[in-house]
Amino acid sequence: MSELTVFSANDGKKSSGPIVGIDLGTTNSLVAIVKEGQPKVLMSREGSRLVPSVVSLADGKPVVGHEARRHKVRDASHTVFSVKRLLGRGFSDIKDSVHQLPYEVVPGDGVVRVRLGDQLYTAIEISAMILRELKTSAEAALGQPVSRAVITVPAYFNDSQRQATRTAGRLAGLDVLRIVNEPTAASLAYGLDRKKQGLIAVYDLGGGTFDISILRLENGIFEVLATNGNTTLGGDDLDRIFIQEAEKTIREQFSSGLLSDPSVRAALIERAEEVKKTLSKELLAAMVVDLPGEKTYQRLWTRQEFEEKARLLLEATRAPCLQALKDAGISVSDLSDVVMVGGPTRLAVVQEVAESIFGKKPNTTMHPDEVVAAGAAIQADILAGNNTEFLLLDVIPLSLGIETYGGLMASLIPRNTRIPASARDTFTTFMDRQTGVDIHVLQGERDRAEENRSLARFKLKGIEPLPAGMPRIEVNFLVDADGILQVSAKDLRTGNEQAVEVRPSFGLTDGEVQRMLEAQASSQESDHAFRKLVDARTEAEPVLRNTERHLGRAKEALSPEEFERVSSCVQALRTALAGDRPEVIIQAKYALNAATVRLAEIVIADSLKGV
Amino acid sequence: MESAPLSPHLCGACGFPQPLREEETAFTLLSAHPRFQQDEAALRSRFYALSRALHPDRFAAASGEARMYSIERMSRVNEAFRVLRDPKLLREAILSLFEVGDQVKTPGVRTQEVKGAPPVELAEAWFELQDAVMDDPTSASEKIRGFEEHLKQVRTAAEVEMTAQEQVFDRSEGQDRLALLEISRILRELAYLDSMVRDVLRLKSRFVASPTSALG
Repeated sequence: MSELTVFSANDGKKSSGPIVGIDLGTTNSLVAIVKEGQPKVLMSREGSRLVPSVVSLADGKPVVGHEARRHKVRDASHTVFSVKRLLGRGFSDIKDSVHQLPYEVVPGDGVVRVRLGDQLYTAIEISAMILRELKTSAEAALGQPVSRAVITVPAYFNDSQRQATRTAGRLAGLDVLRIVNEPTAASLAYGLDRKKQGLIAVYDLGGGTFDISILRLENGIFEVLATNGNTTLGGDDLDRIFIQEAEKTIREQFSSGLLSDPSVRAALIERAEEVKKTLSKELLAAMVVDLPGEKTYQRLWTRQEFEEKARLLLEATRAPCLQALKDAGISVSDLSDVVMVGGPTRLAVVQEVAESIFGKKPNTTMHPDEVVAAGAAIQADILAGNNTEFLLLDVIPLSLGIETYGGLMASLIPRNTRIPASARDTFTTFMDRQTGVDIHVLQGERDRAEENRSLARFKLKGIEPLPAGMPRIEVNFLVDADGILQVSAKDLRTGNEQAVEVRPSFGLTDGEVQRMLEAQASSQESDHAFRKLVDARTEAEPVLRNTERHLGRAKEALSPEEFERVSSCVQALRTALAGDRPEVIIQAKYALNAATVRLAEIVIADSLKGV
Repeated sequence: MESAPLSPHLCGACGFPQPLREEETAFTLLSAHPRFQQDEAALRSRFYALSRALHPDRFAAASGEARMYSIERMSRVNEAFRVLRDPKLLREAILSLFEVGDQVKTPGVRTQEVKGAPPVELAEAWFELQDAVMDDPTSASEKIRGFEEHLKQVRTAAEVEMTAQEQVFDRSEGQDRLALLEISRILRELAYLDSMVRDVLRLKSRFVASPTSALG
């Protein structure tokens, strides 16, 4: 059976080498690997375990990590962060929050782009830069090439966000063997200790997303029973408490114009993060932001004040938790543990809210920043065939369906269905001699098609021109183990496979990815060529200058033939340097060197005589 | 418990997942009898054993074909596990296996609303209710409530009857086709009752003022 896939997998192309686990986070990213059965986080090239998910421009070149993070305030409009919030989304998804970002977000057809210097990049490309940095770090740490990875995503990521993550991996030169849900990955690290069995909840609050997953752990099987979440709620939103307050005051006391200054925006974000961190240890913290024109914004915060506001926001995690428990068919008392994952769960107020939802003290023993990367590494180890004891059985977070007559969504694969999952449906034509049918694939839980996410539109083509209602086209939906949808179609009358043309609604087409990969390869090539040219010029220019300086002496000391040769070599090198062919420059430099051996001897002799 | 046969799933010689065959059903996939009463713990244990053997994670390094069959087979095993633990889906699966009822799938039409034959006595009561409400709207609320109560009792009785017939079928070791026909008839009746519940709601919204509409 041949299959028409949305994105073609690397069929049977197997390379050796290690498989790393990557946590591509909103705020920080990590790369890890399993060594002797234990997951280990690898050091970045900057010498840290966490790589800030920040990309900036330094001397026109993108830099990633701590260095980029330092540019965040100084060069705010050239620094991109929290790009995961934009990944796989359309402008309409994010237009309400886009004004909070100090960098420019450019709406486009489908995917949005961000400005970095004078270039526009998609969120996929920015994510690819972060992934490439992690890949390079892993290669440096392991001393061997790394080309295969498992990458984690929030469990509540939809199909286009998953697709976008996989594409980013491809652009970074990684064969993404598996996309794993973050809370599920965390459960692998948690369950490494085999004494931990039974029903657990993983409460995962990241920088920009919230996930809740309910799992059954039994003899090495990690079965996800249900998952739920909110892809627009995270630790960043707690920072917004301080930012909004500051914005209000700055608008009232100074001017609202200050708020459109990118460096002010970036400073607000930076200071808010610091105040939040301080309040997790202290009862009081001051937020101080220097503004242009010698002005200063100051505000003293008490922990109690912050926690009251935070509690209101965090209440939004309650409904997803209760829904997940309901979908799993269990009650709170069945849970043996509530595992906390994600940096923001360090905050006492987050733990409190979790405790009030689940009625028991949450388990905070796992490293909140590293547990997801550790789990990704364990999944990588499973895929490498080293760990045959563990197996993850995951689910899709949102229902998949198609738009039917009247603008309604007909669900084909309900949420929390175990993956891989399949479903089929038969379509026919409405008009006589119709040869194509449009199919609109949706993801979500709403009845009205327009209130769900549009994943793709398919066009079934090459249908036999028959009277309306006669053709029978069977469309097969297959959700693979990454939670990504693949579609194939068959004409039941003829048995022919149908052409399925897919346009991802908020992603890159295969063609676009190919072009980006080619552009990347050729830009690396042109970088290399440019460096060679610069090197050649740097070597040749002093030779030319020196010779020109001594041409007067050459005319006296050399025979007319010798002088003629030197002159013509000088001319040749001048011409070569005006061009851009490094090999011509190098050759001309050698020729001039050879022609000036006698002259050099004379000049040296002169200098010894003190002339 | 974990002695589920792997032979139809994996090639005995090469250990790779085999393509699905036409005759495989939710029941054969999980080695379960087509009965209304399923042993959930046993199902889960078989499902885990099969997952360990078939899951695509086990074939990450295998050929494209082995991986494709693994995804195909695992997705069907997943579906079977869902069907066999959901009373409604299980009922549909058993009726369709024994080719009983109106479960014929018409291509292009996915959800077919089966309108059952109304129990005569209930249909008469429904017409009487409508007339009575038209004649005397002031007593609508009370009369509709009375009818709703009646409807609920009929529904409960139908469900009790269905459970009884399911037990008859299970005890007969899958031989009692008459029980299946009865179940199919009760399903049609329940579908009719559901549509009547909706009709009653519509009648209620016309004649019984709700607290919010009273404001307008």
